[in-house]
Amino acid sequence: MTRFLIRRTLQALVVLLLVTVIVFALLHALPGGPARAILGPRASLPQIEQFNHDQGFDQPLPVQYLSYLWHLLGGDLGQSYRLNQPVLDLLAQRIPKTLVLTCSATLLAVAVAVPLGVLQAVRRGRFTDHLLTGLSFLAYATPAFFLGLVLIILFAQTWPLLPAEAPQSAGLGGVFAGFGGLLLPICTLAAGMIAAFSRYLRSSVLDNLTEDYVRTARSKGQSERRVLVRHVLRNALIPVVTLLGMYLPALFGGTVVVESLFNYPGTGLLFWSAAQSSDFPVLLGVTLVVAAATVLGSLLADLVYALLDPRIRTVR
Amino acid sequence: MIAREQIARSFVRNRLAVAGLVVLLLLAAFSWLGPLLWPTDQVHTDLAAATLPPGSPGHPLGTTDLGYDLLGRLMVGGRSSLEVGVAAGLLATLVGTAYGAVSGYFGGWVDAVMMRVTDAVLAIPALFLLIVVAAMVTPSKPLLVLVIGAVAWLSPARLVRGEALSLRSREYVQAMRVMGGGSVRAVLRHIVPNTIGTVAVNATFQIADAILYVAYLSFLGLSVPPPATDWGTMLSGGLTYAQDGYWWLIVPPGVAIVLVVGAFNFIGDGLRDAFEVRLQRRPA
Amino acid sequence: MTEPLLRIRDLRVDVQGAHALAGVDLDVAPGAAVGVVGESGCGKTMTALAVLGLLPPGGRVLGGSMSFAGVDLRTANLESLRGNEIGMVFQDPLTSLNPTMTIGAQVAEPLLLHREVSRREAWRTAEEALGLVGLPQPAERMRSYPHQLSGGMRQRVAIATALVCRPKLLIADEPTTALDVTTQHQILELIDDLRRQLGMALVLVTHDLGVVAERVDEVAVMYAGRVVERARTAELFNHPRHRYTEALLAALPERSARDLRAIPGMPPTLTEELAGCPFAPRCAHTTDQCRDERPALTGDERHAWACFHPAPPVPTTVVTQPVPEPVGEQVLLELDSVSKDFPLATRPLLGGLTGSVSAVAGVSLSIRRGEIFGLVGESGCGKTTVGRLVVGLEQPSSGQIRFDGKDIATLSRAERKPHRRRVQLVFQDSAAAMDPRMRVGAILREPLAIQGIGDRREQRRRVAELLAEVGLPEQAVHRYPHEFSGGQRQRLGLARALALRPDLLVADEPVSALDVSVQAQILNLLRRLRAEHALTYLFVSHDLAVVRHLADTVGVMYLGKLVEVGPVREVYREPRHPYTRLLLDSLPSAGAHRSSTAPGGEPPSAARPPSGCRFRTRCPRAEAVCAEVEPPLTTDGGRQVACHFPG
Repeated sequence: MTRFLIRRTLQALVVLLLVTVIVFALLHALPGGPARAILGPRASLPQIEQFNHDQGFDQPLPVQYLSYLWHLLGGDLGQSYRLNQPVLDLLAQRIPKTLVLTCSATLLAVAVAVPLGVLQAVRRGRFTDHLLTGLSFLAYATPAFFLGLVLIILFAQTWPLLPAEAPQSAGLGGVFAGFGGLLLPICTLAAGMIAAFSRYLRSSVLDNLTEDYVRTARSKGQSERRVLVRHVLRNALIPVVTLLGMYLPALFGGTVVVESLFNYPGTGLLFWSAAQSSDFPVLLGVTLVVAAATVLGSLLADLVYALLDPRIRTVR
Repeated sequence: MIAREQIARSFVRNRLAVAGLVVLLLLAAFSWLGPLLWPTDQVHTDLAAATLPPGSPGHPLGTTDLGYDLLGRLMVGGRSSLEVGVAAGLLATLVGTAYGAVSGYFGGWVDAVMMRVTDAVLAIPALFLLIVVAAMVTPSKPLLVLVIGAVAWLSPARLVRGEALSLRSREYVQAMRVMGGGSVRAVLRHIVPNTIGTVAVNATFQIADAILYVAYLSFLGLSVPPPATDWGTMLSGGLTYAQDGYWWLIVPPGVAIVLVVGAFNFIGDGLRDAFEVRLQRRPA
Repeated sequence: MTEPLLRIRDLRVDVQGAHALAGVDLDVAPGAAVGVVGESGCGKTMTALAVLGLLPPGGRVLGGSMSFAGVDLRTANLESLRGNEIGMVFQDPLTSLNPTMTIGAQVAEPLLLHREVSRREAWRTAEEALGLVGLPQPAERMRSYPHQLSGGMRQRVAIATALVCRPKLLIADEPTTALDVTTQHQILELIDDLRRQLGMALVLVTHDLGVVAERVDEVAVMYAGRVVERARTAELFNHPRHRYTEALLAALPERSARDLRAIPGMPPTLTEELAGCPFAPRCAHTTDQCRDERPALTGDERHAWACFHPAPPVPTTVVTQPVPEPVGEQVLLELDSVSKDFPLATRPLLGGLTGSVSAVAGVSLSIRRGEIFGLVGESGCGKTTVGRLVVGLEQPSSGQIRFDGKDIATLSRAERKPHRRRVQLVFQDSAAAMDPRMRVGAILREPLAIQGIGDRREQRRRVAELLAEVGLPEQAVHRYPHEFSGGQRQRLGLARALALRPDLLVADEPVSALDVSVQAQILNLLRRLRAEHALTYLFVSHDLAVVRHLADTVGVMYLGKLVEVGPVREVYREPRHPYTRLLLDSLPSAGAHRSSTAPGGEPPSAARPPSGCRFRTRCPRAEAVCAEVEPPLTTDGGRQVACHFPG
């Protein structure tokens, strides 16, 4: 277990380092290089040369990379030239909001997908199964912004039950006060996850149902229900933790779409508006932070998995 | 029974897969053969005839905000959506398969390094990467294919790598070694043919994902320049008007995307079952 | 006879369209032990599962009656009987326990379901049950998970779970098939003891006639979904009446001489209703009556059979030792202190242990031209690795392998390819060893193509020749490997191995996956092929009976070491290494009388072998010196043994 922890953590660190290399490479792949990216498209040539000299961008690339890394370690993600604020500050304001959105969506998705997946497995090959299978494929095939818009038209316009815009308050308190405005974004974000998770759970439960230990459990005289709950579900649910970790990139990608559609001021919207105005320090800074969150998230998922599964937990 | 026949038979038994195939063929016929039956001007705008509702004379599905006939535009847009999707999906599959095969066949250090690289790229959500790259350049059809291919190769790479790792140690590969066969024969005669099923299945999923990516990119403002269009561009172009009651600007392209992506997913699912069935079916 | 505890009449079961059971009659008296034997697909397991209502998906009872202690099982609330009145033990202890539940929780579960007890009481009773089945340190084990126990220990846990409610009947479905022979012996003894102690009835379902001999009171033989013969155990083994039972016993390697009496053909597919006797197509005594009319069980309580032309009630074949083939003096293969170390599996999810394990630790042996060398030992002893080293799938970490006098490690690249022709390998599962996408024709042609022998036409001719040689029709070339039965696939594997006309054939458990009647066919084929092609075999097997039947010389391995080598006849008659003796004593036998020395313990891990003699931890003769000095393999009058105190 300890060895597994160490090994997995080292792996995550290597991946994190590679992520910084990729972002660094993107910075340099920009037309006009980092100076253009940081000074903005209106900067003049002498300004750029001066900047390159001041910032050490005329130095060899490895040196530049090390200094980039050094700045990162100090928490320096650069400066947004459009908003004229440090990227770190911008992120600090917005990350909690995005977390509220993603965590709620994940909770909703798990809460819906688990019973759906189990239902499909139990009703395997019957109408319910086919119907839900078809629906989950359709949910997967629907672009989130299309779904979001349909939800807005239905539940904000045709039947005005919910606001079409997410809460705009700067503080988290305001967000929770206007939580009704988050319901549509949460549902939009959760739809794809529900499709993916219920599909996975269906096959996981089906696989477990054919295992020998299930027959043993039946041979002890347990009811089908108890076999399902006590034995099958426990084994089928553990891998869902890993699935959550693997779904993180898609989840974060989804926030860009959902936050811009519902105008929710989180990291996704920050990223999107940065893309509109070619605000590269923000684009790359957000990318780096999101990638780091993904790496750490999947590390966490693997560790939780290891804790839940005695086959890994109890290895000497 | 011949293997190919068996695959075909079990594919046909999967009704959803067959439905997917039929839908796909219909959509393709609509996009390529449709303009022959319903020729429209998709180059010049006609603001006088903008946002006509469905059922207007001469415009069964209505017109767009710029006065293009929507039915005709769907046909033109379908062509680019399918072209970009299929090209990007195949490119990703090709690159990913080669990368994964090398990683899996060599194993050891090569594999460890190559897989950490995919982990790193995978850690950056594809949409972020797409937007950053697309923000640097002006999109065009070939460029979209390249950019989407560049983020989508990861999943086939990991899949093929796993497959190659396991095939490498199969007993039939060992048996071949005992006969005196070498690596080249192992890869060409045994490993590659046995991964084809997996790769084919994955390719259909890749195409579906690529079509979705195109849609997302155009929603985020990065799409092919007008008058060219695709379903994703049409859908996102209509978004601003949709809330004002011009529902027909988004529903047809939206439904088209859902149909085509769903169709590819159903086909992939059916293919996967078909390949699995063939290898599982043994006399009792 | 007293009122039976379990009574089955004319039980008919369909599983996904196949007539799995076509009228089974079976009685089990209270406290009695009944063996249900038969080959795979005969319906023995289905009978057991039907009793508890645990038929697989797609299975349903069509007709007949089952009653348990007067209760009709077809209408009873089975959930209240299962694990309570009737306990069941399944075949594979590795998969039949829940991997994420503690042992204690699993053993206590039936108590909580069926008895009005508190959790604490249930836990205590479960712990007692674990002690009863001989699990060391039961209190600690209660909190363990299944993966922390060996296969034998897990089967003990499964038995404890089945017995914790003190059932009146225990159904054991192939309880020892997945275990090594010494562990099998321990588990069978345990079941025997517990049955007597608890006074419960036992239904022992198995494919292995040796397992039921002398362990049960009565045996029912099943074939194609029916009980074809039922008798007191001794009666059945000495005077089988049904022609199938007779043939099956004659096919056992431990009961017969040179050529086994293989049963031709295969059991019928169960998809169509058979009018007559299901064994008629394979029987030497078939008449028109057999084909048209279904024989009923006739006879008395002691012995009944369903056969129109039963065997005469005279004693059948007695055990005779096979006469070894004359073997030349020329040494073909020689291993000289060969070792093979593997780095310990670095499974990333399991925390990647470091270090290495010596799968083979200094093995020396020589095989003469024309000899059949049987290499036996329990799983993990390194016998398979020796085979892989010989065919060149692994390279030795140290030591020399000489083939025809030449060290194969020194062969040049150019010499290696032709050398490959001379040594070929037959796998345990030929299906896995054949590319599922290739047709038989291509599979058999592949060795010829690799070695560049002949043009396409000549290769085709050779393939046809090979198929004829192993007794398969020429049309087989158009089919895929998965379309063949297990026995046919082993024939294909042999055909492919023979394609290059090798001198040495390494056969790794080639008959282990086969039923007795088919196993006999393959063993006979192996014998014939050796005679016709002057072949030499390295025959790797866990099955001592098969090795005794086939081999000239036997080598016994334990934890990577060769502990005894000698002529088969002498080693089996008078084993000198205590491990060889333990193996032979554990051997279930439908032939000779079984001695009942209780062997102790389980093999230690090969990653941390004991110092000195590796067997000392289980050896009754072990003394201080055994822990300090490793006994070398010493030769004494044609026999070799590695023991400080050889018998």
